[in-house]
Amino acid sequence: MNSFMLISKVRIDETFSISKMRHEKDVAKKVLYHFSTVVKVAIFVAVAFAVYYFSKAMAAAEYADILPIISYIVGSVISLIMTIVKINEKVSGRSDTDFLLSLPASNTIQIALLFIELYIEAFVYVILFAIPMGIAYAGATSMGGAFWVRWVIGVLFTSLPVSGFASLFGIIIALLLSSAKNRNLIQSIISLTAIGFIVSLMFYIAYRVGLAINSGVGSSPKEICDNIIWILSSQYRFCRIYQNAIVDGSALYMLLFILVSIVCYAFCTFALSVAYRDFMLALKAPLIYKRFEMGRQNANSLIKTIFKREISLFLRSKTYMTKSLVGFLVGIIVAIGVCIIGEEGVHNAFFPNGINFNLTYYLVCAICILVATCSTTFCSLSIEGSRIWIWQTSPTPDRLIYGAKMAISLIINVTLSLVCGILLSITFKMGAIQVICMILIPLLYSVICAVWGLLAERRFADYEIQSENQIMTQSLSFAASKLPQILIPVVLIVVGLLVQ
Amino acid sequence: MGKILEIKEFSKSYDDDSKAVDNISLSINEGEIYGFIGHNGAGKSTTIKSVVGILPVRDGDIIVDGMSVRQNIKACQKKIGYIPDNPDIYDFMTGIDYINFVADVYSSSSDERTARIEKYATEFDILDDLGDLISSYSHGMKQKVSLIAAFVHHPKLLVLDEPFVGLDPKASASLKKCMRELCDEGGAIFFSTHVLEVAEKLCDKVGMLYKGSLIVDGNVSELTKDTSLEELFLHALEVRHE
Repeated sequence: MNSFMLISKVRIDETFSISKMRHEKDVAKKVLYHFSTVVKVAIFVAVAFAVYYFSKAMAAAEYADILPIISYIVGSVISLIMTIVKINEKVSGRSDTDFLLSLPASNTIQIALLFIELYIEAFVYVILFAIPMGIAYAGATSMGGAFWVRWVIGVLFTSLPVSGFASLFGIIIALLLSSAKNRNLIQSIISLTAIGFIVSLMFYIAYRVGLAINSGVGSSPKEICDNIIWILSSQYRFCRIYQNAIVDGSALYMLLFILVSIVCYAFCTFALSVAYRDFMLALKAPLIYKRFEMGRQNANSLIKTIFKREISLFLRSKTYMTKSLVGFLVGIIVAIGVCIIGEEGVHNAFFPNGINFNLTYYLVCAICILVATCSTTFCSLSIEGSRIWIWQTSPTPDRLIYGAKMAISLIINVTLSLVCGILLSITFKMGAIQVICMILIPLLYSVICAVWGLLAERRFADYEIQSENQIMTQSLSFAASKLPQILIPVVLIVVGLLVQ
Repeated sequence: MGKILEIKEFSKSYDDDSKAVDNISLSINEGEIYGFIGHNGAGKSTTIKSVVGILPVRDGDIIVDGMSVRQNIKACQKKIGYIPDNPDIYDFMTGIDYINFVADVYSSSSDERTARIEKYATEFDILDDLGDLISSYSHGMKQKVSLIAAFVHHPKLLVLDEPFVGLDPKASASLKKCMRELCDEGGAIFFSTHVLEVAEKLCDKVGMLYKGSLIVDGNVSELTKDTSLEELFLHALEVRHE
């Protein structure tokens, strides 16, 4: 138990940079750290309120019955995507693995900590949707105390089955690829493919649910809700168990729900703890390829060399590439999906009363949110880590190094902006000025985000953080650039809605 | 012989209370190996990092082959090869990719780099492993690849921070041989160590740092005419305390 507490304390300190900030002498960094913590909490509260008001609106329209299953699906999807993105680095990315293996602490403790970390991270997002939706649902249906007990159980166990499966899958993939030269790249591609599939499925489900709600002519809200629950359960069977256990209160299904949730997670934890040492040794085994034969070594131009290195750093990262491209995938898939269902499909599913607002404005803001999520410069120096000395001591002009970093960000965002802008403009048959806005504004925002991120990094880069996950979501550069970059278009959307 | 490195009244502080390096001056000529000796925390790495451009120089100046690092750091860096005390390099590259990357950064031609890579890789007995990923290398292998990358562009000034730590005896001997060859070809070497025996055998000049101050500086042959470096260092400490 003592080892568990000690290692937990180290992990918490590392995750939240507690000791680091305590000893930080740069006042600006300290202020930014605390400010970003406050902002994140404020965003969490704001999103919770937004979810609550959306749920209240659904309840007022007599669609309260679908709130539990929607909160379960949203919680599961977020848990799944988070696990897919993080599992590679969580399992194989720690540099203190050898040290931890040498301690007299059991492997089970270290594995348990790993999964507790994953669980807590997913749980925060699960309650973001579950609590407000639960309150709206209970208020609309006058549920008693027994429901709340079941609801809490549902919230506690939401992320377990999907995270368990995703973790096990990620670990098996890592093991199978342990001898592959481009292990991280292949794993990232597999992760992005899985995420792409999930996003496509979510879009399809949203479309069918929208159609069910808005096209259910003559059907009562109850019948429409039953239809939607059936649609959702047919896509994800576990929803049916959840619905019967948590909402309908079936004891048998409750037992099944708890049992299956625990078994998925426990099996994964048990399997890894039994084979942890062998697994780590397999991942860290020297990779010997064919014997090297010295031939003539060709010189490349400086620009080509720098750019090639930057691309390699991005493609062969554990989490950097995967996390950066999630927004890209969402944008491309939704844009293609909208194009496929067409303007009429969008109307039927989502806007049955017609589009009586400035669609271009909201679409541009939405694309800008995605552009901000895909911008990579905000962590491009910190991601160098302890290898930063190579750049610091090289005669390469700084502008070339920064240029290469901006190029990666702009390649992703220009592609995203063009594809989304063009497809959506065609789908909604926009006029010339609207098309220009749809394309130019996101492109301009791509450049702004790239430059802003780099400036923040030059001031706040932290080369001591080893975790790519931590660099991308908890660094000061994230707080100084990426967070406001995402918030600006969100605020513009909210302002637009309020003004309307 | 021209001066390759000149450190003039250089001081460095990390906060207002104490100086990590206090007003040191030294010079290294072409063909010389300069050993920078001192205890842990003496200020060796701070000095070295200021020479190679990682830390800015605000008090004093550092001149590399006639150019000031305060005014033209990039031009100075073109002439410097550097290896830190614990070289972390790109583990997503193979050994040969990393060496070629550094050779490209320093604009080394194909013929030159091919010849040097083969020479140094054979010398350090790592030629067969250059096709493997750096992530699979041991600490010593990473250090060897870093050394080859530093030598491949034939720097005028080679700066090494504790280069012998982590090297096996054969590799240490190879490194000493390569260092001497570089100096014979007109280069100079500035390296830090806290092992006096290495400095005594290898260096032409030594400087001893104690709590940021240079307490001994001169030719090894002159300094050790009547005594060893160890006794000289201890005597200098006694004088300082008095």
